Amino acid sequence: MNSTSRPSRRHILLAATAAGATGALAACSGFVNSGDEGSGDGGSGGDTVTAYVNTEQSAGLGALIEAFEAESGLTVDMSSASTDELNQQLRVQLTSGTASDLIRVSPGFSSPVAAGVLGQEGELADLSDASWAGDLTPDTQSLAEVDGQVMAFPVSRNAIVMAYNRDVFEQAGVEVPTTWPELLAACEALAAAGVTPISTPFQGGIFFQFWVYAMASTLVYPVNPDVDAQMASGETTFTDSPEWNEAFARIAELNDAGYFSDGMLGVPPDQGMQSVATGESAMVLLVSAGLPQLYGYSEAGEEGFGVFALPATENAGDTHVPLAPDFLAVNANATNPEGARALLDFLAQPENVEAYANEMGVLPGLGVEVSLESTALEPIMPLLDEGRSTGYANYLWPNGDVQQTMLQSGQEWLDGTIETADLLGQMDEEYAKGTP
Amino acid sequence: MARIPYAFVVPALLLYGLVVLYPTVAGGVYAFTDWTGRRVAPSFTGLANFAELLAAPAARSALRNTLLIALSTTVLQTVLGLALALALHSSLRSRHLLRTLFFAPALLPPVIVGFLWQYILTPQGPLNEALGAVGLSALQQNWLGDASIALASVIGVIIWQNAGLTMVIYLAGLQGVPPELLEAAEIDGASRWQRLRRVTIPLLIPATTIAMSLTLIGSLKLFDQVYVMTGGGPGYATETLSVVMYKEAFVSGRYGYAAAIALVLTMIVFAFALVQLRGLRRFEVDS
Amino acid sequence: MSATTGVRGARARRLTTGIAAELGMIVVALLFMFPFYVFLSVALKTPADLAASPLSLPTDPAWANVADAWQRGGLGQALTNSAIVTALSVAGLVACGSTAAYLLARRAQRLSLGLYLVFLLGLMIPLQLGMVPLYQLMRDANLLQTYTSLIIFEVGHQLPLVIFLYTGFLRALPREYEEAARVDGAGPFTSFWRIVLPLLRPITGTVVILSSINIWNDFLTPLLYVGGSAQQTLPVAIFAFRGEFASQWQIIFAGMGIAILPILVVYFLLQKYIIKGFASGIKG
Repeated sequence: MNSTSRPSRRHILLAATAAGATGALAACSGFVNSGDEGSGDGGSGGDTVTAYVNTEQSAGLGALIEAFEAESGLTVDMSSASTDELNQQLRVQLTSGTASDLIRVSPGFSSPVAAGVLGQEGELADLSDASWAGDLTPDTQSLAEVDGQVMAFPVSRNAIVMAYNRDVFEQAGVEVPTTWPELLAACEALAAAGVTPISTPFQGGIFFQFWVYAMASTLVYPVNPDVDAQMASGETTFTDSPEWNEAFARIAELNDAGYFSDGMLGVPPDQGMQSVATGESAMVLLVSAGLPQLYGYSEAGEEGFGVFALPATENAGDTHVPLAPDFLAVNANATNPEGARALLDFLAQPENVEAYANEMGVLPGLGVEVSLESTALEPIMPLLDEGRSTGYANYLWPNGDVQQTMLQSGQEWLDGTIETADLLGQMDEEYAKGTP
Repeated sequence: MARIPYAFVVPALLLYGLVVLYPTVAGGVYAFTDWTGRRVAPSFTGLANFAELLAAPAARSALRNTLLIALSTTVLQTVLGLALALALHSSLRSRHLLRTLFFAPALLPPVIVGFLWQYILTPQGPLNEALGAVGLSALQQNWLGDASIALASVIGVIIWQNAGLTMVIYLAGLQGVPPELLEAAEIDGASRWQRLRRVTIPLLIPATTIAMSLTLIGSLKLFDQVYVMTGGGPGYATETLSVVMYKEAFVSGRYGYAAAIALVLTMIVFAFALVQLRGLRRFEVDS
Repeated sequence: MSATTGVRGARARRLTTGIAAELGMIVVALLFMFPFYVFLSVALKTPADLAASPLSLPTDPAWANVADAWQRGGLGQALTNSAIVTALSVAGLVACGSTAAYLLARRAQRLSLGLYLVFLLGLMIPLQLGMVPLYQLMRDANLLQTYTSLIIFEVGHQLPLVIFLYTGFLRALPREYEEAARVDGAGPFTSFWRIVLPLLRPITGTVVILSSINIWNDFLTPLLYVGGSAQQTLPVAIFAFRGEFASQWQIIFAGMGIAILPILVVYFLLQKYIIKGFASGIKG
């Protein structure tokens, strides 16, 4: 090793490293933000619209967005995540000014990134003058508006329905129940036939909340339409409201009678649906968007199942269906607000509303004339036509923690660790904290 | 000898300061505010966050569970890891293959381990199915759905993943045990158990200290597996400080409160680490 | 009992217990491997197969699951992302960590000792406390959704461990070679590059192994920084599979298989080094 060889070897090595690094940098972008990439502040806007949507929306919007790009000449840069993940990231992104132009927001006040919460903070653009604003259905309107201004666009709507296995009902000689006593009788007959009457995959609590909303839809809102206003003003509480006590009492009645799945707190949703598909259980309460997955577990497909609205009173005419809009909103600090609005206007055209609903097997977001391919939801259509629908109960609760407490403490309630009064008391406590 | 210039440490210090020191201090400050992550400036609320932490059922239960998980995994994993190491530091023909297998789970991403076990532990899942198939249906449980055993199930999963790590540490330690010493003890008539008790285990104290402190600190900070497997449920049965902290920050948007929880967690880790460090130092003086 | 039969009996007994122990350990290992069996069987089942029995082997391996997971999860891109982030972070860690440790190990001063302790502190600090402020720092630098943000984070986050490993090794390393180089007139940089770094090779191997695995498996921060973007890493992409209302286990498991396969292949090829790396790394 002499002195001249030293630097040269080092130089070769350095040069090689440098070349490698430059090559890597050149070969793959993604080391720096080029400016118009997903950034609300730094972007130059122009002909790109950025969108951050949930997984379901991403699946339904794919083809429509291609059509929009062809028609408008704009480019849509869409990224997606599961709703949980999206909710967590969107909050930080909005605070940090990195949120997309078009964003998926939750209805009402149900999460830190709900239309109501963000609308009050001025994070969302006012869409009241959009051409589709008049097509909002009444159940959606209250959830999309803040102080009379429209803040969100419903891409679709979902209903909470009971899906049942036709074969199992038939073998047990059970008819579709339309009243609470009929539901109890059906459960009794199904239990006697050796099947679990109701599949309750309550792991994580997501399927448990459907029960609360479905009960509330019939037992709370039609009886006392002002209950949310009364609770907001402190006039009543979960604990003091006879309607809310009744709603939880009905769930407890089914649970105490043993009609729910064994070990329900450990059963994940997919297994709960599978057990209905295989006939171990007779029915499951779920959102209509979950129906295709349920059908997929059975060889019979859609034909093997029926759907009905959960009855909760002695009178079949009392039954209501909870409906949930799936929202998109325009970021108030959007780089390209015009582009985002143009995309919403495009999605609001009746043929596109119809295309989305058919693609995803959901209800149309707007109250426009559409024809649905799937007949699965036909049994609940009369209820919708008669206006017997409500939003999910949690949407107008003042913060997401009320629901979070309902889900977690609700599990303790289901396994008998705490009483109904404790559960309602804890929910009241979170409710009292108001909108942060 | 020429001194090494401090320039050598500058890049490391810059990155470390940027990624660890500054954010930690800033987070510590937020712990005393009502910051919600909004554009509105937070205001100082003194110890209000900490008072709430002591009163909230989720946080109280999380505090208890965090300590329970840390202590029980530390003890059980050390015992299991030692047992595996002793069994595989032998003349077994399959010992190399077995070491490879026992260590494999330690390499898996914790998120994936969480998903995997969540599925295995469902009521009609593979574990219960397997127990039923071999006539042990009496042992079938609702592993993650029963509030009274969910925490034990989580602890079991953590130990499954990390026992191999402890084993490897002990295997390295066992190489430092001179065989002559054991032979001498055997000639003196010491039984197998006595040799283990009087010769091997005392010589493994350094390995034990290292294994235990790694497990303890790791399990106090535990997040991924619990978050994925149970999300803290059922009820609050498997809530840990890091899971509550994450939910408060990124689900509820209460960053100030979340920072307070994180600060408490940091204090606990420091307290345990200090105790461990003392033990370690005493050992270093001895040797 | 004569002396010879006694010895023979003892030997026979030892042989039997040996075989029993061997079999016993194999059974224990098989039980221990049960989750991996579940993994394989679920990943290759059709939904109907899975509904029928969670435990049986797939009747007809559904490779479609793997293709499905690969496509729907964008796992090819995620795999590339993970590889880029891991490789560059590890390179950065070796560069920053070894130089810093060289100073910390060789300069016995109050300042350097204090610095060493400050770095060690990082082994204990839960990253949760600084998660949000750091996120905002990255945003202000306009680095979110880039590899750069993750690489900076991973290097900073893993440095305490790496410095701990390098410093421990260096303290046990004799100084004669460096001193000889100094006498030859080499400056600190030259002697580090030419003498010390090559001597560090064994511990560098450990550093590379440990930090690669930690970074490859990291989840929480990548989820926050690059989740939902084209730069997301494998664990984040896998997590995104989990839908809102139900999980399609076969696809999730198939995707998870794709994510862990590289680790397991490397592990089985280099197991001796990896296990030794862990052991020696931890011994310091």
